[in-house]
Amino acid sequence: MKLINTTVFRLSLSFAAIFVLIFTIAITLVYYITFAEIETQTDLELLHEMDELEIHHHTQDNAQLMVRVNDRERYGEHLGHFYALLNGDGNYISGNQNLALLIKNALEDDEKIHYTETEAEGGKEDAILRIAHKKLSNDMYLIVAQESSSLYELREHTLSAIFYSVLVTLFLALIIGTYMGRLVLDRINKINEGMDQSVATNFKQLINVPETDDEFQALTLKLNVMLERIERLLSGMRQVTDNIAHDLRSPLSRMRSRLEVTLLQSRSEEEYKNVMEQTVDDCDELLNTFNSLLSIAQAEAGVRGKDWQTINLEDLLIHLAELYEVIAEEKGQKFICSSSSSIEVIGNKGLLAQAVSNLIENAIKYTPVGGKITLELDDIDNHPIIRVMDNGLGIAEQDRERVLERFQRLDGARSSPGNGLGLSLVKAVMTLHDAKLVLSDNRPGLKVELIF
Amino acid sequence: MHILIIEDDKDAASYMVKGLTESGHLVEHAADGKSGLGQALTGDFDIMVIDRMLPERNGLSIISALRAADITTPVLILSALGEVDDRVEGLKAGGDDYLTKPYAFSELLARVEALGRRSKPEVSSNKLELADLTMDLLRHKVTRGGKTINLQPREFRLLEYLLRHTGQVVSRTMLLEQVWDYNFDPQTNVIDVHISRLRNKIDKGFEKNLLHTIRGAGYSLRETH
Repeated sequence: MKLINTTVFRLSLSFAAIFVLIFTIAITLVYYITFAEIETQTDLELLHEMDELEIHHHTQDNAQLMVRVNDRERYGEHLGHFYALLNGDGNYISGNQNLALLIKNALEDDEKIHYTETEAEGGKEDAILRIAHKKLSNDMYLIVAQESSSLYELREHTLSAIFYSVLVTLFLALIIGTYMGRLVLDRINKINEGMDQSVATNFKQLINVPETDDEFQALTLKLNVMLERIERLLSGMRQVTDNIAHDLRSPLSRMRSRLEVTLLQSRSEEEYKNVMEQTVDDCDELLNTFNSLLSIAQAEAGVRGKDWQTINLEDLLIHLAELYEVIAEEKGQKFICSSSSSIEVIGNKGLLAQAVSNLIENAIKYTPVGGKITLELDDIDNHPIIRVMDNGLGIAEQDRERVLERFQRLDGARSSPGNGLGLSLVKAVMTLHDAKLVLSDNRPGLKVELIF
Repeated sequence: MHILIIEDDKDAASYMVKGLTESGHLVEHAADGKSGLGQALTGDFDIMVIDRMLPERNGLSIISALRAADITTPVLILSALGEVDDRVEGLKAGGDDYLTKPYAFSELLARVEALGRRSKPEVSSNKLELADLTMDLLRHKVTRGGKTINLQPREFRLLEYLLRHTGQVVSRTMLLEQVWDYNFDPQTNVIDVHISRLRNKIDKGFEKNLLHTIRGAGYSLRETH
């Protein structure tokens, strides 16, 4: 992935841009406020000079004013002060001649003080003058000027300083953005590589979890959980496909060969009827398997929806016990149903009933004649528990995970009817209800607990 | 019975027509929702079998239209969708029974005939009778040949259902739905055991058996075999 396309890089850049913008605005403000203040100070000084000269004008005659202006001009030069006196037509009378020429065309014909700024040509190089002029009551123009070249230099320096610092800031932002982007990108790339490898190995290999305790570690852990789930689903599906092929193909091929053999020669009506009845039975068995698979798929894909309701577990168990008690009795088994709880749960009644009935059917099926089957409702900390216990063969510890998978039948159970889907359905229904399915040893026998 | 089938799957429809005709019914078939509704509105049928997913117009909307037109002919809905809330939805729309594909023909036949029975005005009586078997609904008492038979409450309901459908074949699934109120198919022969217990009580020791097993289909309560 290109660095420029990463979020971190773009974020760093936008952040730098915003930062530079704010910085520029602030520094420009400071710049203008400072120089406005300096200008005000210069103008005050000019005003002061002008006031002093005007006092002479009021008290003494014109000749005296001319002398004073010439004096001031002579002493003020090294301070950068310049003075001039012009007549009403703008012609030079006394003081600095260059100044008089400079201002000649910009004179304002009233008795207010006017300030102008001019670049002095000829005389000193690059001299910038701030000039104040005023028409006196005797129609002469009094001009006072101050050289402010150094101020302008300062101004230019400040501007270039601002320009360069903005440039440096931008440059640094770019570098830091690149660095941070690279840092994050490296870690993302590691995760991406891990994902690629995981996909390449059919999700068997997981992503290496980074050691730093941060969001990348959290993300990787989450991704690994997902990959594990995908792997489980994939292998589950593969296994189901294999098993379907096996479990459904054999009855189908059995049916086919029976029909084929029947067709080899003509037979009596009775024989045909027999074969067809057997075929119907085989079809029923197949349909049953398909229906069970569908039920499991529905439970697995199910969501808490319209068909969810409050279920009284005690009622549910009592009704199921009533349905199955007789079968246990037929088999000479003892069937006990007890309840010490009246807790209700929210769920899909049909699916829950089917799940519990699957457990009861298993218990009856795999418990020998004379055995005992116990159906029990209990609760711990307000969590209802349904227990189905028998004293039959039980399931060895290492097989308890496996029997929950579709079509898995233990060797000892292969001879009895069934399709190996019962416990898969129970598990799917429990997962749908956020409940746990726990298989344990009933010493002897099997104890199945549904913990809500 | 005069039966209308609205089903777009040609093969399924043709074997339904064949099977129902051979079982002694007069069958008409429509292949899409629009013409199906037309036939349903104009013809005089005892039962309608309507597929849920149809071209032109879906099954549930046909039923709603029929009910809106005050046609109360019982309807059996066929559906490939087997989730519980689909069933509820179908029955809410005005369907009388619901059958999920794939289904066995015997199941369809049994349900169609049970619905046909329902459509006839029920004789309001406190007694159900078949040959010398009598069920007194008020006093919760069953006798055969004058001899009282003691039944458990559930056995009583089972026999009541069978008596109400005398002469018809009822499937195991129907019994589980109607008597026990469960909508799933058990893997074991649980209904058979209940039936055999009931048979022990009502048939054992009597000359004539009333409760018959119909191979591949279910059970039937009737005088003749």
